[in-house]
Amino acid sequence: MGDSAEDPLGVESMIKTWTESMNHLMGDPETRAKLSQMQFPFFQSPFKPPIESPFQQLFQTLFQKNGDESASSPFQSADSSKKKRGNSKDLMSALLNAVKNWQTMASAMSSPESFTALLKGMGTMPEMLINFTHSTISGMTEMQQKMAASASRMGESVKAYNFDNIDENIFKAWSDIYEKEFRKFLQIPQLGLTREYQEKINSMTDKFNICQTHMAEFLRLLFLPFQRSAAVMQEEIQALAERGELSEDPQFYYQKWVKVLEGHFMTLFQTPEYIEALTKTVGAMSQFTSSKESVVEDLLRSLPVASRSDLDDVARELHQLKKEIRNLKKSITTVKEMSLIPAMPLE
Amino acid sequence: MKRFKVPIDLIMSKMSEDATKARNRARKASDVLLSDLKTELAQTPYEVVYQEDRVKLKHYHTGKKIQYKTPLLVVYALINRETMLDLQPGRSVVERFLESGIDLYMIDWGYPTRKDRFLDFDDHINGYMDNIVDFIREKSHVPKVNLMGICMGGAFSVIYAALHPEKIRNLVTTVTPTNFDTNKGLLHLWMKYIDIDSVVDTYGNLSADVMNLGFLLLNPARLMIDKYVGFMENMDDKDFVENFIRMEKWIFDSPDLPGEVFRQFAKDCYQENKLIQSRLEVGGKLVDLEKITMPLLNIYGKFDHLVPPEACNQLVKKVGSKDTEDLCLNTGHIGIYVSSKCQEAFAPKIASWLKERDLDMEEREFHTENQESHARQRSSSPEERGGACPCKEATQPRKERVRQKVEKTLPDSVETGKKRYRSSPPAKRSTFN
Repeated sequence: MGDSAEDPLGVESMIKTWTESMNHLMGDPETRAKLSQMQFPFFQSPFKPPIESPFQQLFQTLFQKNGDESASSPFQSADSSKKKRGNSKDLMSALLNAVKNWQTMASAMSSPESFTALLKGMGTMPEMLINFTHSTISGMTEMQQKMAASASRMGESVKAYNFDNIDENIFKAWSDIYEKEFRKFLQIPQLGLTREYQEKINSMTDKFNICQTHMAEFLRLLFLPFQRSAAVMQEEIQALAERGELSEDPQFYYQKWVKVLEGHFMTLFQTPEYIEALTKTVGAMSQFTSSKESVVEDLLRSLPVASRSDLDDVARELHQLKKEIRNLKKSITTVKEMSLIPAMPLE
Repeated sequence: MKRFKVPIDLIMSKMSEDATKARNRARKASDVLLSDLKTELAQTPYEVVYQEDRVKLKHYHTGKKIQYKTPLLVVYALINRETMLDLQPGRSVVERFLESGIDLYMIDWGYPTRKDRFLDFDDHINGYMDNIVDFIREKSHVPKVNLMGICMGGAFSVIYAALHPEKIRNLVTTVTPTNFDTNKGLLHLWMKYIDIDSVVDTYGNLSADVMNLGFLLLNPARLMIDKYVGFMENMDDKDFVENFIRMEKWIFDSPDLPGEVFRQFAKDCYQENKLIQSRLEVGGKLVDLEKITMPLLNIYGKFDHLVPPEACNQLVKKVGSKDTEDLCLNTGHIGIYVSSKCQEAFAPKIASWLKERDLDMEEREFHTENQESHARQRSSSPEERGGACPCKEATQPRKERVRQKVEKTLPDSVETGKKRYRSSPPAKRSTFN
């Protein structure tokens, strides 16, 4: 029970089992201590039975060939075969050391204290993810509620050329959620040599998200007249039908629809909501473009090309110079004309 | 619930008839679209007589005798192209002016690039326009020119006339916004709230594509849907298709707008409405509309959704001129120039108005005498060649005239040698400030 409370995901028990199995694979401690003398063909004593462990057999299999060759070749000189045996010995001892280190680490990790420390750190990440998911889900739930509320208004009579109930709260809700829950992650101060670049990338991501939100709101507003016009047309056709004045000409319905649509657009374009959405969208696009260009210029600095701001600086200086030259030219022309005037005697 | 009968069967049969018609129309349309279509713009011959950076000056000439002593300089807006004034033979304002005997010049502002983003009102008005006006004055041997402005070009013309009234004989403004304190036009409403500095600092020049999209969004139902439905219905008519494509070519042939011009136009005009209040400063000088003392003809469209009548009809009340006329036509922003009906009212009206105010007989004789004396002076003293143009003001003492010009153009740091003229009466600064 205590284990399940400390180890809710069963990670600790899993690693413990794995470590034990690896230990089993490597053999018991006594056998491991005698590994260097007992495991390899050229060290194998005919008087000792071999340890039957799959890992050891694998080693055995891997190096059997080499051992056999070096032992059995009739054409190899004694010196070369001695040298080969020496090299193999070094390789084996290096491998042994690596395996021993690995076993030591695994043994250390299998102790309860080490496991607890490791898993506490690993457990922090799921907690963060759970918090993150919680805020996302609550925001999504809120938005879903608003969408359901607006859907429930389907079928209600629509007043022509009226934009009182635009349902802009959905985007406001998302903006609030983004500002409160997500934006702060992108505004975490960065550390290290590349901190400035990282902050610029985070800023670009942040501004992209804001731009997308405003753009979605703006596009939704542009779609509203189509929505309202369709509803108004339905009601108008119904009214015409009740009066028995329905036309057979599709052009009639098209012209009516275009006129209604135009009226809705003209009304929408003068509403404060539209002007606000337009202003915010334009502003957000400018900010995103500006931050994106800043990131791109940083990338370009590593290449031997002139960036836009470099060229703008040159253009600005050229413009200043041209202006000064123009003014100087005018001054010179005027001074020249003045020099043609005869001097008047002073009274 | 009352039951009503919807003649669905009749509607469907009508739709199927229309579908048959549409199919036949599509067959004819493919012949039309694949044939040789005449959709070129600006066919009236001209010559580029002056060029500075991207700006060109076009001089139109026909074989006909010029009947006006004063040439006319037309200044189009920086938005869209001046080719709209010469759409096609038979629907061309340029042609009508030439038929009247006007010596016609037109500015082609070209296509600004990124390097032009820092050019502002001062560069365009006191730079390009002033150089062009001086060029025409010298080429035509006239002291003044007639100036006609269209839309933003009209605003430029108003500013130029206020800053350089001595160079303008008559001023004509068409669909020119001068008063921006109105909510009648959507542009006036939207521009008040947009963060212009952010846009200009980010993008530099205002992209033509963005401007086109903005203009389409002023009336998407008509400009993005109905217009093309109308085209589909008339695709089999070659003349209609040619006219339509010509207009499409013109309307989407848009240059970018230099960033600083956009910033100044949006902030100083749309947001602060400085022009009509005579608070606008260009090149460090105040644009005082009272200085516009030459005759003014102001034309605008009653159904103009871009520049509503309220934005145009205040100008005549603010200028110092006593000879002013407002003319409101029953048309929209572009209809004045492209509608054949309006062209019959618009272009001849301007031509006759200018004719009445062309050089009078006395001035014409004086002008001829001055030309001869000027020619003699040129042959004797080359230094004076670049100086004065023969003009009415030549009757004033030359030193007086030059002193006035000095006070206008020299920066304060330069000594003008005013002490030498202590005994002379001081120049009227108000004329040139």
